[in-house]
Amino acid sequence: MKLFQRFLMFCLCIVSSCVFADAYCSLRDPVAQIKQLYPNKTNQLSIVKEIDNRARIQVQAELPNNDLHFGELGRHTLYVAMNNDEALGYIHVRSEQSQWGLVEIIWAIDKNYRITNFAFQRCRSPKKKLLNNQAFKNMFIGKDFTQLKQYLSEDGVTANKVLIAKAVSAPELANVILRCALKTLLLTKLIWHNDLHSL
Amino acid sequence: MFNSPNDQKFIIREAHINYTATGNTLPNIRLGHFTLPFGLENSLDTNGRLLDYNHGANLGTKLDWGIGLNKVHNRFKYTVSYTLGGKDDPKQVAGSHLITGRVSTLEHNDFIIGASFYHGKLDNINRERYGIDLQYYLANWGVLAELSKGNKYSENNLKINQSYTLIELNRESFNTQWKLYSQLIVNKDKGLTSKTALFGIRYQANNNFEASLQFKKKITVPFEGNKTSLFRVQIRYRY
Repeated sequence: MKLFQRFLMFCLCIVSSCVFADAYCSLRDPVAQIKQLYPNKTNQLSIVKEIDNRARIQVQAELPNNDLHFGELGRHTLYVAMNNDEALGYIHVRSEQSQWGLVEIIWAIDKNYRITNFAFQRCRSPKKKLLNNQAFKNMFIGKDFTQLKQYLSEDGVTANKVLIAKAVSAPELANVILRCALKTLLLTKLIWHNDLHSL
Repeated sequence: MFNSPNDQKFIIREAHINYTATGNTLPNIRLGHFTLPFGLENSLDTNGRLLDYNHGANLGTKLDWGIGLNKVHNRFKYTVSYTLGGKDDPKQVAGSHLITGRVSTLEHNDFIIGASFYHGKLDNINRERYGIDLQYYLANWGVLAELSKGNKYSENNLKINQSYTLIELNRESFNTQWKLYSQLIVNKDKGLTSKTALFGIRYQANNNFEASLQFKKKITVPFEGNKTSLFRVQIRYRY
C-alpha cells in the first residue's frame, strides 16, 4: 500500500509540474463549451504554444499602437473541434485590457481564420448586453484579419464609424472587442498555423 | 506537521488530475491533492499568497488527498469531494474522512452565489459546516462575503457551535496589476467572538513576479487576550 501511495505521489508530482506551467486563457470546461459552439464535434485537440516577445513585436508591427498585456504572453491553448479525423474549426480564449479590467472573449474561428462566433467569458462592463445585438455580431462573423482591420480608425486602437454605428451605446466595448478579435486572428495564424496545417 | 524546531518535510501542494472527457452531462473526475471545495476559496485560488479565505482555520485543513466529481454547466457548476483526512499525506488517520462540496453560479458573472457543505472527521474531531458565499463585481470593485455555521464535537461528544463571517471589499487596477483589499472576519466559537480586520495590497509585475503586503489586526478577542497585529511582506516568483 505504501509503495502504491509513493507511486501515486510521484506520478502527480510529474503531472503537477505541467500544471504549474499553466496555460492561460483556457476555457472553464472545454469539453462542454466546445460542444455548444460545434454541436457536431466528436472529439477535440488542444494545442498549447508559447507566445513570446517575438510574437509581441509582430503584433506591434501588424497593429501599430497596440501591445499585449503581460498575461497574454506565456503558454496559451488553442482548441480544435474535431469530427473524428476532420477539423471543424478552432476555439481560442483571449483577454483584452479595458477600463473595467480584463475582458475575456471566447472566439470560434473557421479553418480559413475567419470569425464564426464569439461570447464573453468574463466582462465587467455594464454594456455587455452589446453581444445580444446581432447586427453588431454580424460585423465580425465571416470576417478575417484583413477585413476586420478595415474597422480600425487611424489611431490603430479604436473602431471607425462603420463599426461604431452598430454599437452606438457601447463604443468603448466595441473597441475592446475589435482589438481582441484582431489580436486573436493574428496570433492564431502566427503561432499555431504550422500545427493546424499539419492536421 | 512539524514536531521539532529542526524538522524538514517535502510537502506536495496542489497536485491533481481532472479527467474531463466525460461528455456534456457526466461529471469530470478529479484525483489527487486539492483544495477542499468550500466557500470563496473554491472559486478564488489563493494558494501561496497572503490573501486567504481561512480554509485551514475553518475546516481543519486547506488541502487533502482524495477523489472528487465536478462539472461546469450552462448556468451553474458543482464540485463534490471525498478525501482521506490525511492533509498532506495520502492516508487516513484514526478513521479520518471528509465529504465537502459546493454548488455555485458561474464565475464569469458579475454576481456569484455559492452554497457549500462540509462533513467529516479530522484530527479526531467530528465537524460539520454549511456555508453560503457571495461575490459582486462592479467595474473594478468587488464585494465578497462568506457566512458559515456548524458544529464541532469534542472527544467526549460535546457539541460546540461555530460560525464564521467574512466580508471583503477589493479593487483592481484596470490592467489587473494592482489589487487592494480589506477584510473583516468575525469568528464565533462556543459563543465567544473574535473580530479581525486586515488590509492588503498586491502588485503583479508580470507572469512571474508578484509582491504583496498585508496588515492584520485582531480588534476584538474573547476574554482579555492580546489584540495582536501582524504585518507580512511576500515576494513570489512563479515559473
